[in-house]
Amino acid sequence: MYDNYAVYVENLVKIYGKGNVGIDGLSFTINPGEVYGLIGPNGSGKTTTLRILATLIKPTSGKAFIFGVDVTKDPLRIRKMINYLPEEAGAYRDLTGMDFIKFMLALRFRGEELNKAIDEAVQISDLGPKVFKPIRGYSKGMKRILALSVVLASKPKLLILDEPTTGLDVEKSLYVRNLIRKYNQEYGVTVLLSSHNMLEVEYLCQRVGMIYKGRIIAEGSIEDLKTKTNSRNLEEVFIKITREASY
Amino acid sequence: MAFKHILMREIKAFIKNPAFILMIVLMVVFYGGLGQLFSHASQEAVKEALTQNIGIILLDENDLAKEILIYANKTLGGRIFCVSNMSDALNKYGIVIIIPENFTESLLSNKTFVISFNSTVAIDRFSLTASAKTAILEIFINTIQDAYRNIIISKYGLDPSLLNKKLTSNTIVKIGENYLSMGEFNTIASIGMSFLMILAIVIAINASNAVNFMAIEKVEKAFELLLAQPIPRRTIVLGKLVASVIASIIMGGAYIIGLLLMIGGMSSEFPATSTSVSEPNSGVNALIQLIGTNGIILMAVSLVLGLIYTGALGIILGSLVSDQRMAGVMVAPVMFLFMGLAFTSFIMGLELNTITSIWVGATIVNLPIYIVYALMSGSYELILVAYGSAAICTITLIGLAVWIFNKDIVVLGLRFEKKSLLGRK
Ligand SMILES: Nc1ncnc2c1ncn2[C@@H]1O[C@H](COP(=O)(O)OP(=O)(O)OP(=O)(O)O)[C@@H](O)[C@H]1O
Ligand SMILES: [Mg+2]
Repeated sequence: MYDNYAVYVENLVKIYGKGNVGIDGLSFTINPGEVYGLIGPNGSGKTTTLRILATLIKPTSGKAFIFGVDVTKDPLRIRKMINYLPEEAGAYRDLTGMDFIKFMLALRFRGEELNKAIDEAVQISDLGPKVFKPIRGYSKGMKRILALSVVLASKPKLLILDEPTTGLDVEKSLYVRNLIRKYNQEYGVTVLLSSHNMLEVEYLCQRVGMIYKGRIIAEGSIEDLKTKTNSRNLEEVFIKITREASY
Repeated sequence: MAFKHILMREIKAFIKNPAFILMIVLMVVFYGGLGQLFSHASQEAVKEALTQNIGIILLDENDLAKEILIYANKTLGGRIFCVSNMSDALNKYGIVIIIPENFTESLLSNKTFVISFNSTVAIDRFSLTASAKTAILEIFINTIQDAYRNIIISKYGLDPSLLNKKLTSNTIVKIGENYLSMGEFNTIASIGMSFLMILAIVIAINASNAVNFMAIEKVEKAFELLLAQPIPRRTIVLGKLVASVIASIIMGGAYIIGLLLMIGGMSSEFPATSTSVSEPNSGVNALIQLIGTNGIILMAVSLVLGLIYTGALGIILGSLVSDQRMAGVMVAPVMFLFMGLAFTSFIMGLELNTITSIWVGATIVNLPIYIVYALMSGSYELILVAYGSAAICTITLIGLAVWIFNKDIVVLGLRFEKKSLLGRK
């Protein structure tokens, strides 16, 4: 039954030792081909959830499946199906952008496939001749798009993106959003992303999960959430739901 | 005013850095301990020199020779023993001096001015006590000098200044089954020591490099992205391990070439003045000859094994840190531990036995030097034991590194929380 979902999470708990609760009984599902947005206040458990799904950390208890594969039992198989953009993705300072792209993609592809992926990533990175310069001299946004380029060009079944556009200017944010949408629509990549930008979530996501203190307190399509809370936009939804939850 | 704020901030930053505090504590403990150890070792060496027995092979059956020896024996507190067989004597006393057939004849002759004894010192290891042993010969020869002067005055009523003889020792040092001249021994002891010390330092620094590389990788923020790629964590660990070994071999090679260049430079500046001090360069050659091709291969194997060991240790520590500050906290005690181990055995010497072999294998830094000792004394089974112990520990460490790489801590890093440090209850 779990393999009907791209992501199946049930009662997921992560305690970081000494009673530091990361998430506290989280449940949600993502259908294949969907773009799903995880929104919630700072420290609500978004990164924790994404890290568990990306097999970087292990849950304390609960279930997590990606395309029917248990995240805790077979991490290597999971990593073959996913790619993950960490919250603060950077790159090796001593490499050039090109070397970094080659290095990361060579961990997944070989031969002709690798060359194609490299070309694709170079194009996404949009660095021009700077791709041959050391990363040391890149700006924050340039590094972020570089990391995003290898993650996208790997075309995984599931893309996990932790705040993909933070630190990017308006134009670059738009560029990245369009790319995410393109990869979802053209290549059928399922996307799970977290974001603080409600505009972005409204633009990209079919469904949204509101996370608060480690639990999903509201879930549904954006239209559903708007009607339920009688709001004009997602920002209003966010404020209303979090206010309600804090009482 | 701004200066004061900046100064205060900087001071607070290093006072609050656990690495800084730890370093201060370790410095005091380490050098204090080293001083204690050193004074203990030199006391032992003095004690050994004062109680060391000496075997004498007396080829001169003259009464005067016997009288001199009896006199010297009294002065030395009964530590002189006459023996007939060289190898038994060496096993029993460690120092054997041959009194030549023409000893008294030369003493009384007015044609000879220098009398030299052939003597042999058996040494099982380079250490402070080893050099003490060679110093005893000096004491013995001085005693003989005193003895013959006093006897000649009292017996023949002669003025000893008329018979001003220089007594010297032509010393051979026996290490295991190898015989070296005193000059060779001294150069080998000093060059060998610096060489092996460099190996120990390279092995220890390797751990620090591995930790720092991991810390930098985490600070660069590419680590999480790497961990999410479809490769077994084992592969990442092995890649890091082999890289750190290669880096340290290059570094160690540079040190050793530097050392050889330094020795080469010295030898052209100071011409050898006496036969007992051979040129440093010939010391290097003697060292290579003494150790042999097998020895060099074994030392290279020890070095690589040592680097894998500390590399794995460094990766384990590196997986616990989240930045360079924490890396400092982790590295300081490890470096001091390894340096301490290296210094201790240089001062105390290493006994050749099974327990020491296991210990040396498990603590790795002294493996190259220990293997050389064992090789020179022909204790091949001890070499195997030391390698076995080192291999088991190394494999365990690699296993541990891979295990930790599959844990949360490699992503989250170790945290020292104030509450847990001070204890809440
Ligand atoms: N390494 C850690 N050790 C202890 N507690 C942690 C650790 N990482 C996160 N937490 C705690 O877990 C909770 C969830 O954190 P998480 O990083 O998942 O939040 P988030 O939703 O991603 O926040 P943000 O929007 O600020 O990125 C927080 O209360 C945080 O304090
Ligand atoms: Mg986060």
